[in-house]
Amino acid sequence: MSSISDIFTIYIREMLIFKSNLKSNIIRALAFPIVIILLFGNISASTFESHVLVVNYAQNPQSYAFINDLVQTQTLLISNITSENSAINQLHNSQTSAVIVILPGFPNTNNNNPTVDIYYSATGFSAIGSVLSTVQSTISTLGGNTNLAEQAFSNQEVNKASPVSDIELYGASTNYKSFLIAGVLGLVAAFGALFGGGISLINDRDLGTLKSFLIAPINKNSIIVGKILAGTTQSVLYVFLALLIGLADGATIAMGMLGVLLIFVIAIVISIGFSGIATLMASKIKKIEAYTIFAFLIGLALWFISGALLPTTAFPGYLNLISNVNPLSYAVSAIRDIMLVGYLPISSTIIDFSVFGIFLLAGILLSFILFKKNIN
Amino acid sequence: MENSIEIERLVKRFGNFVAVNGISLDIKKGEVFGLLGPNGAGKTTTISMILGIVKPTEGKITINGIDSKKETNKLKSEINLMAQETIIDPDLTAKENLYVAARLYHINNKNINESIKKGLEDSELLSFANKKAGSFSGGMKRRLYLAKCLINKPKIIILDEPTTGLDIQNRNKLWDVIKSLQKEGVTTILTTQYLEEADKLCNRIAIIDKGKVIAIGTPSELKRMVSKGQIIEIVFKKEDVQKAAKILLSSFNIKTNIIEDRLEAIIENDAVTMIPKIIKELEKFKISVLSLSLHLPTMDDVFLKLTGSKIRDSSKGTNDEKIKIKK
Ligand SMILES: Nc1ncnc2c1ncn2[C@@H]1O[C@H](COP(=O)(O)OP(=O)(O)OP(=O)(O)O)[C@@H](O)[C@H]1O
Ligand SMILES: [Mg+2]
Repeated sequence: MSSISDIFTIYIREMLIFKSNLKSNIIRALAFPIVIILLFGNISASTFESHVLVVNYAQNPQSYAFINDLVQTQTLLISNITSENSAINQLHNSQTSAVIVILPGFPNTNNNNPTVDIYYSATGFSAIGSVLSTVQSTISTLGGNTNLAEQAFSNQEVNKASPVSDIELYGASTNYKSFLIAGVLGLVAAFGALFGGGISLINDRDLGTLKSFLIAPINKNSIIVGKILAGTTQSVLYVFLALLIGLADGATIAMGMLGVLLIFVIAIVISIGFSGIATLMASKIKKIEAYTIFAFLIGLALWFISGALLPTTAFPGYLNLISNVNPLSYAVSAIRDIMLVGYLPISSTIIDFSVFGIFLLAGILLSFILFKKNIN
Repeated sequence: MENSIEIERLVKRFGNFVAVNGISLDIKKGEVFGLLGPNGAGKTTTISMILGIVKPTEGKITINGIDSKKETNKLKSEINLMAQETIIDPDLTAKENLYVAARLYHINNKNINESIKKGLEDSELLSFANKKAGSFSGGMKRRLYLAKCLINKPKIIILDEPTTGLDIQNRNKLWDVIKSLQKEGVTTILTTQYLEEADKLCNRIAIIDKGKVIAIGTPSELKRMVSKGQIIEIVFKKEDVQKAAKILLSSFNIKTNIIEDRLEAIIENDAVTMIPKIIKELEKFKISVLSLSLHLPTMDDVFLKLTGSKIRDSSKGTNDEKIKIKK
């Protein structure tokens, strides 16, 4: 009981300090994201080589020839994959630009019964157009049978398959700005925690406040809990403001109010998790200046690798590897689903939220353990 | 009288460095106890161990009959510390600073406003209640900090060099606070580098040097340890000092300390009648006395005798303004 009131005491103190510098806090937290939106938000096209996954159910000579022809075009980066589900998952996580599924009856001249499904996302920027035209022209040259090819080319052989493309994954009409704003929200949450909690911990140690907390009749853990809660509150506030700016700038939330709530849940998870990283750094770094540099570096690197600026398909393999263990990647992709797709695909949701759970727990444990160590 | 704090063979090592080297002390309930020592003597380290912020390497501390290792919240709520540095939140107002402090000590909602108001009154900051503490002068900050430290009406208050850096007005006010706390029966531990301050305020003093207690007692007991006699100080022209010292030794068997252009010595008996004799003897050698003074031993002399140096000499000139205040 009294422990809760102690947590609240620390929380009040942190929030009073936050309030007393409200303006500069908000400017500091939002200036950088706004600049990013203004500078990068208007990029419309890109020239990245498009990565495409192919699932081949036909397994006949024509299908092999088709895939071979696709590879020969050299405008697409083709990978074979056996599981359609995992291919779609990768598409959701922005790890590929499109998925081509070759159905068993391939090739088929019947216009009403297409045998190639293409799932695609607009995150490949202009890429999707080139994917479609490459696939169509490749089909048209299949087997040298021009008749067949001509018919196949009449747009029906290629099926913009449901369900994904029906709801226009990341929306064919979506521009890069919306793509970016989802990513910027992740940045705001992470930086809110890195520059809120960590700095206050170093300051308290420097100015002796920590000492006056430690001699007071309060539970030591309530100090770090109060700090994490205050830092999280501030992060969520920043995310809220950044979201407003994003909406004013033309972004939409496909999921509506529920989506806003989910974005806050994700922001809470991210800022608690990053509080752990902040405590880790603050327990090793004694100077504010050094801390600021490190926090900036780590925050920015994790954010960049999260695919917030560019789809992770544009990354070389080793960055993809880091991206896969970067909790911010999952946050950004989940926020993107909420804002652009309108629902959270079951399979990726399970992965996203397991990662969040682990990150949350690690953040809390790290904070507790390192804080204990720090004060002894 | 009951003991408030009992310290037994307390040792603190930082790596190979021994900061506190086997200190044993009993501090009685309601007394003002002084810990006197130069920079780095181990004063702050000792009180940090009493408060449980620093873990002792060896030894035991008992507070109000309870082993301090147990760190009960009841014990903590009866103690407070005014640290050497001024610990306030510069971004918060005076009122907010006191509010947070009151909450930390679980002062209930009924009494909290009253406690804050009293704190503001005692620190004479009522008209600055809603101003950010960061904008205060050094003295105001220190007063606010003191009010924070007294908000829980502690039974034991530890003041770590409370007057260092204060102007004379603020220092005198703080001395009054310490005296009135004593009237209320509060046990006070005071660390200081100012001998005069310890002399004036403390019931008992422990002199600490290099992590050890080298003397303990009431101020007058300590002064009597130096000598029953009186201290003579004679100022010469600088070139005469050495010669004068030799004369005093050979003619009167008085051992002197040479400090720049001055001699200091203890005269055990009949100091007043000795003075004309000394002057006459020196005149024979054409040494003129520029000034001469005679006084009973001070804490300065106690310190000099026990450690072989003046407290302000051993503080390596880091605190020039302290010397000015002392004079
Ligand atoms: N955390 C620490 N690590 C290493 N050495 C320390 C630590 N804390 C104190 N010391 C050393 O222990 C010695 C005693 O320090 P302490 O602060 O107790 O002295 P003090 O008597 O309070 O001096 P001052 O008058 O300067 O406040 C000093 O030499 C100091 O450098
Ligand atoms: Mg000290």
